[in-house]
Amino acid sequence: MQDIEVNQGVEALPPPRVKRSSWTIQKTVLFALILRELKTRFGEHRLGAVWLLLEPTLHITLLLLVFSFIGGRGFYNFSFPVFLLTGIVPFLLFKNIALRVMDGVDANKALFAYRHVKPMDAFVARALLEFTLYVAVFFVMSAAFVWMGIQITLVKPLEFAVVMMVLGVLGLGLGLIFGVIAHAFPPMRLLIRLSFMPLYFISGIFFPITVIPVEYRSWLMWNPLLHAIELSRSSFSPLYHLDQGISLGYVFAAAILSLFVGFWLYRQRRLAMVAS
Amino acid sequence: MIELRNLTKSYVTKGKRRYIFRNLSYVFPDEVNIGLMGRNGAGKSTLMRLIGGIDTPDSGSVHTDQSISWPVGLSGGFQGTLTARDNVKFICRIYGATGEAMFEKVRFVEEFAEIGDYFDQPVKTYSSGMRSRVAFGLSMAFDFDYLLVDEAMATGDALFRKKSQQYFEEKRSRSKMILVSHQMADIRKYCNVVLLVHGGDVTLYEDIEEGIRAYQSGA
Repeated sequence: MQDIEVNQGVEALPPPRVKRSSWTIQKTVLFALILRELKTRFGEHRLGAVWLLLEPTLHITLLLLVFSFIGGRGFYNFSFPVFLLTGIVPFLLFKNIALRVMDGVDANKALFAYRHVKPMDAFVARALLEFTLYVAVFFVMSAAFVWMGIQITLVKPLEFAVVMMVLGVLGLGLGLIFGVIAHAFPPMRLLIRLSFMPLYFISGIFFPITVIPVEYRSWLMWNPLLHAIELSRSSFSPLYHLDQGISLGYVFAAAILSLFVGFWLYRQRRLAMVAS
Repeated sequence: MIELRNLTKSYVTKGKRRYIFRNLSYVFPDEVNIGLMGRNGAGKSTLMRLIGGIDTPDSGSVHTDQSISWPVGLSGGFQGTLTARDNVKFICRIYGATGEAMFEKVRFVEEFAEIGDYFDQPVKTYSSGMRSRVAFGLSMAFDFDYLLVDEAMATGDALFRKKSQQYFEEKRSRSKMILVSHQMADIRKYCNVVLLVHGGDVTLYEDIEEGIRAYQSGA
């Protein structure tokens, strides 16, 4: 081993480094996390990519089968496949944002070893990625429909975009809440996952709310997801009959409320989530 | 400048909360290599992790205008499902090394680690030796104002140790260092001052020998 002077290194100045702004760091961290999520989501066996399109396709096919047996037809001037597509994709967008955000901390635990990677970055990265993926899924499936000769027209694109974004925010807000709960009480994770099953049946994915008798409607109307799905559907047909109670404001309020509760819970628990 | 402000950190063991630091405020001396000493469990590694931002305090904060490394050779900072290459790329991205710089760093780590095809296998399939090779190479690929070093620096066979040592010396000449060690030899060799962690407080010894004596006397 060579001799080293004790005081070496004191005089030697480190090379000047470029100070990056907080915003630059934030952007690079999010970008790096999104790429990292993409790698594991589609990495092994490419099954992730297949499943992304297969899942909504299976839902639509199964529901078509079931409803052809009990003699279901399109509602209003929708063909039934389009009716289902406009219900399933928003639901999956919402569900996947919420559930993948929930698991964001566990899946990235090792990466919090680097000081500027925080749990919130993982949450936001996951929400952004799922949002983009499901918007893409929607357009790919629509294109496939058109190719198969099923007519689909987006009448109110702006309204559709707004509804999807609000739904994304609602997913992120709930995902944050779920993430904090799941981190504090891990067994809750399964319960939260299972709770999406009944949600599937009461969110108007395969029926318009207007077919429900009026006396039960008000109960179902508590569900903001139902509002969002009805609204997204109505942006595909000028003739779609919306119930009077359906309101974008309600979904928006639910989204903002869940986001604030999510932020607040995160604020309380952010240190515990990283601490070992 | 590294400053601790009202730092409090505790752990819960067997249902009992044990405080490592309680409202500790301290300004680290500038431009020196600091040796952190203290008994097992005194909190020197915890302090280092807090400075490095790997662990978070219960309350209070660490302030600095310097760039501080993650602990040199930290092998826990890898995403197990990703390959070493993807992990290195991730870290390059968050530290702002893109394009050509990223390409160079990835190549450097790959050559340094010498783990062959495993470099493109998920990290979870690695032996601990392979992990630490990649981890050490990664630490050597970046420049920081402060290097955090926790005890056992280089693992692996003699040849790898020699190479690590060589790179480490070169890195050391450009960065300051905070070293956690029980080895008097390491402290004497690398550090200018000793910071003794004891009973939730820190004491600075400008004279290394004095610091080592205080440590040995069981303070």
